Amino acid sequence: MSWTSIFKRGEILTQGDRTELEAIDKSTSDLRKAIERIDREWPASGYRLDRLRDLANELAENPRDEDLMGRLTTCACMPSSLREGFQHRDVALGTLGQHLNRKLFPQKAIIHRVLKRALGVAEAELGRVERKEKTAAQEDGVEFLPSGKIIALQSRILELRNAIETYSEQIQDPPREVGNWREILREWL
Amino acid sequence: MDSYTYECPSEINNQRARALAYEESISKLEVLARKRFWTIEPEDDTRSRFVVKDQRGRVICEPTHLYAVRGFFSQLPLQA
Repeated sequence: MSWTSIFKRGEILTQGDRTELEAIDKSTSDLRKAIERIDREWPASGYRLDRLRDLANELAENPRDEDLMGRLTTCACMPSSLREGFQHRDVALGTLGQHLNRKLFPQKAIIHRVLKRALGVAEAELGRVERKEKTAAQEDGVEFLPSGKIIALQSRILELRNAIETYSEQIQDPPREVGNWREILREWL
Repeated sequence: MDSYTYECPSEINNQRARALAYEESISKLEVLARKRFWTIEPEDDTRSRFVVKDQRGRVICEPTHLYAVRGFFSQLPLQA
């Protein structure tokens, strides 16, 4: 048994759902880029003066370099104390992350819908397999013992039920992390 | 009817209520077990002690009284 034969491609995650999810992803691409840029370009605290000296040395050799000038400015504006050295990053990235989560929130409803569909399919498959095995056991005159396939289906159903139950239509404040829908769906489908 | 065997009606109702409450708590635990595809079976006809068995009939919780079975389920992670 493979899961792809039960959760058929295109039936659980339909093309419409996929398009919707990708459209939401696409609408947040600028915000993601901004977050990545801050994450990449903002230096951590510590050794600020050393870094400034190095950048100034580089700038001295190439005074027209705008990128270098920008990095020098950023570095000069960063807090240098250990007590406040992390807060600038947390505030900027945290606020942007909240906006990102708020924009990604509609994905949760789609994921919920897809997982419900998967649960329905898994439950139907479980019923079918169980009935088949029970009649086979009855015909052979032996006690029915669920096979590995039934156990696997049951554990998958339990996981899916838990995942579906944790969904809430209301957005929290601050909004919780939505996560990558591809990774979330790959766990079950 | 002598005084030794006499049971007043309220006492009978109390016993009935207690029996109903007992059955209700068993059915509540059965719901919890069914959620996980397990079963709860009485150890014998007295229905005082119960065994929790999994799908394959393996004993998960040794025969115990209802309060202990309830404790057994309460220490498990939540299941929708």
